Amino acid sequence: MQAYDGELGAAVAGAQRGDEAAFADAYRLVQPGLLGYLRGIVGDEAEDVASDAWLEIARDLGRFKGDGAGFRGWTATIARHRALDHLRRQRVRPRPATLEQDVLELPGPHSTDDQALEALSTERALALVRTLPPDQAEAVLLRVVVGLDGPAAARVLGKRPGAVRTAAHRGLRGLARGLGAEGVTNDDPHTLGEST
Amino acid sequence: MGERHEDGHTDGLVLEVLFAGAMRDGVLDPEGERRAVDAFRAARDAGTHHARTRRQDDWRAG
Repeated sequence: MQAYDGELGAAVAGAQRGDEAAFADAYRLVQPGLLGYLRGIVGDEAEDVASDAWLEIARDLGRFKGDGAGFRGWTATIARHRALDHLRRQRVRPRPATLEQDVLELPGPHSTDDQALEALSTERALALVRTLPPDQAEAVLLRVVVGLDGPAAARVLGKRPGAVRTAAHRGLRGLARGLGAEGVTNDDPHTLGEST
Repeated sequence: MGERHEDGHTDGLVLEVLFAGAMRDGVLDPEGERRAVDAFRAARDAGTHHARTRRQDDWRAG
């Protein structure tokens, strides 16, 4: 993420000086990861929730202080709040649990490790994420899809870094098991590029 | 055992890359970008971008 974050930092700085094109650059650099994160927690409504988040990001842009990596953390926090609001509203209006049915219809894990790791569609990745406990799903999504480091992910979630690290490792092991991939279930603390 | 550990490490990184790619996949909606840029322009022109930094907005390192 380093190269992107330098580029993102420059785009954010430009946007804060009023440069509209710079803001569009920042949007394009952040939106894929943000949308991926939101898909994991609110599913089909991700685009609507992301849209709400960007209104707030655009409005509060002047308040933000930090670099590109910090901007990813700040925008993820805003997106998370919008997602939680959305989920709270949803509980008032119960909706059919269609995702469970989709999971049941998916083909089983492939027979070889290579096939299991190669054929990973968005639909399958999403279905696998939804099988994880929410804290593990969020930890994995923030670390791997949004690209936050440990301390930033912990700040977004309002949890201790150690708890988030554990949740992320368990989540990745859960995903690996779901894919039927052999040899990924080792408890390897280096997998997430941890330096601490 | 050493070789197996290394395979697990490599597979773990491959899983992360594939998973990240799968979750971030999809063409960005140009309408979504347009709405965001419109909101940016409106906020900028209204002087909203001079608001103070609250604690939750300060993401400077250290």
